[in-house]
Amino acid sequence: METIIQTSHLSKSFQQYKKPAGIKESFKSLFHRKYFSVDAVKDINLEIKDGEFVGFIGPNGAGKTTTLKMLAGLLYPSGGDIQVMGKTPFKREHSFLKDYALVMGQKSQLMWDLPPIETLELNKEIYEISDKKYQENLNVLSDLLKIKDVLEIPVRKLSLGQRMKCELATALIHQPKLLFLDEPTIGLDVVAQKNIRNFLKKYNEINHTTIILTSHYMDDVSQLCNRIVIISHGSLIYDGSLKNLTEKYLAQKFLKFIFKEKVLKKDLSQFGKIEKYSEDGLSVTLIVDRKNHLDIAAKALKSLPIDDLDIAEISLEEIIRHIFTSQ
Amino acid sequence: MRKYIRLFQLFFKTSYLLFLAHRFDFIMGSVANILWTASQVITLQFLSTKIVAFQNWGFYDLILLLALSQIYYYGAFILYENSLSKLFDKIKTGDFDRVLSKPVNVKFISSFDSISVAQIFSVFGSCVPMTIVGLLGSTHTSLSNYILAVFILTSGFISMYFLSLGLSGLVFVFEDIQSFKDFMVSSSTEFSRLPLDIFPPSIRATMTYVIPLAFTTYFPVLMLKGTLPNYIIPLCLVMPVVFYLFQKLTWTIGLKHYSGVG
Repeated sequence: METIIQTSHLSKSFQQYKKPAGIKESFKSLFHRKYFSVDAVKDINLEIKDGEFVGFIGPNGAGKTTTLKMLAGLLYPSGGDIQVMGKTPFKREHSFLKDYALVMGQKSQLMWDLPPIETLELNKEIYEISDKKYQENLNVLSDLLKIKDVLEIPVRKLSLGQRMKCELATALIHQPKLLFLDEPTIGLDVVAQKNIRNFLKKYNEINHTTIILTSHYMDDVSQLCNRIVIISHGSLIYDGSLKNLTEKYLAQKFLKFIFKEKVLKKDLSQFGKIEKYSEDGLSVTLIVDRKNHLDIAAKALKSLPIDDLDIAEISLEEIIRHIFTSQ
Repeated sequence: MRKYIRLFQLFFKTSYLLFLAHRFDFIMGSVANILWTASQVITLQFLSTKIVAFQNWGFYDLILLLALSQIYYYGAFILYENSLSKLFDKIKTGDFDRVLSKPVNVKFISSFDSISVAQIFSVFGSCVPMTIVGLLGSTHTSLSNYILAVFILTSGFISMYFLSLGLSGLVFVFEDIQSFKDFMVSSSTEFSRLPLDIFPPSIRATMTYVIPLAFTTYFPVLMLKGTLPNYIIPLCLVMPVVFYLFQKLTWTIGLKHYSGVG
C-alpha cells in the first residue's frame, strides 16, 4: 500500500499572551504584554497508508485538530517535515486541495437559507467536476445517504442528522482520495450517529478512501477505525491497532462495590488496583485480574459491608481515560 | 480564468437567491438611498451658488463628482466590500478554515463570495441618473477625454480594491483592523464627494497617494473638464501595481500568521 501521509518530528507552537483581570491591567496590556509560547503539537511522527481508517483520540486541547489542520494545509507547521499525497500541504497547491475533503462537525459549508443542492453545484464548479461525473457521484451519494428527498429543501429546515448527511455529500462530491473528519457525529442522536457510521464504513470499503477521524465518541472510533492514534499534551502516546490497545486491558475487569457503611481506602488495596474511590467512602471501583475476579469478589463479600456488587468489562472509553489520567 | 468567471456567476446567483429571502431590506434600502441622494443634490446646489471656493466648479460638475463617488462606493460594496468585511468573523469563528481548504484562490473567495445584490438597485436608482444629468449638463468634451476618464476611473477602482484587500489581509495580525479599514476605504469617500482643490495640499496628497480615491472621482472629472495635470495619466499605471504589491505582502504574512480556532 502507498504511503499517503508522512510526518517527521512535526511540531506547532502558538504565541499567546496573559492579561490579568481588571481595567488597570487591560490598560497596561495595551503597552506591555507578556507573551509565552504554547506547544500545541510536539514531535509527531506518523505514517498512514492508502485506504486506512485512522482515529485520532485525545482530550480537549490535546493537539488533534491542530495536527489535522497541518495535514490539511490550513496551518503552517513550526517544525518538522510533512508530506500528504506526495505534496507539502501548507503550499496549498490546487492539485493537492482537490484531492482531499474536510468535514467539521461544528462548522457547516452548506448555505443556511438555500437548499443543499446549491452548495453541491457550487462545489461542482470549485472542484471542476464534469456534468457527467457530478451526476454520477450525486446519484451514488444520495442513494447511500438516502438524501434524495431533502436536497431541494432549505438547509435551515433540515434536522441535524439530515444536515450532516448533506454535509458529507457536499464534501465527497469530488471523490477525494483523503477525507478529514473532525467530530462528524457531534450533537447527533444515537440513530443519526449510527447512520453516519454505517455510511462512512461503506464509503471507505467501496472507494478505499483514506479517512482520518477525530471524535470524542468512542463508538465512532471502535466501530470504524482499524488503527488509532492517541495524542495527549501535543505528543503522540499511542499509535497502533485498536486490538493491541484493548488486549492489555482484556485481561482485567472492573469490580464495583457499593458499601452499607464507610470503608477506608487502605482496606481495599488488598483486593485490586483502586480506579475510583468516592469521597464518602461508600463506593469503589477496582481493576482486578480477569482469571480470579470471582475469587476476589467472594473474598470481598465475606470481609466487607457490601450492599451491591457489579462486575463489568473495561470499555474503550475507560481504557482511553485510564491512559490519559496515567500520563 | 473560465472557472473564476463561472464561480463569480455562481456567487452572484446564490447572493441573489439569498437576497430574495429578504425583500423588505431592499425596499427600505432603496427609499433611504433616494432620500440621501436628494439631500446631497440640494446641498450641492447651495454650495455651488453660495460658496466662493466652488466657483471653478459648476453645479453639473459637482453632480458628476457626487455620481462617481456613489458609483465607487456602491460598486465596491456590491462587488467586494460586503465579503471582505466578513473576513474577520470568518477567522474568529473558524469558518476561514473552509475557505483555505478549497482549490480556489483564497483572496478571490474572500472578496467575492457574498455579493451585495440589493445595492445594485441603488446604483440604478441614484448613481446612473446623476451621472447622466452630470454628463449632459457639464461642458462638452472630446471622445478621447471620455475614454481617458474611464481609464483613470478603472485604475482608481483597481487600486482601491487592492488597498481594501491589503488592509483586510492585516486582519490576520491585528484583530481590530476593521474599523481602521472602514475609515480608509469607506468613511474617506466623504472627501471624494467634493472637489479636492478646496482642501489643503496634505489632504489632496493623501487622497492621491495613500487612499487613491481621487482616481475614482476627482481626476476623471478634471479629465472631462480638460484641466487634469499631465503627471496623473502615468500615475494611473503605477498606482494599481503599488497597491497590488501591498496586498500581496499583507496576505503572504497574514496567511503564515493564521492560527485558526482550536
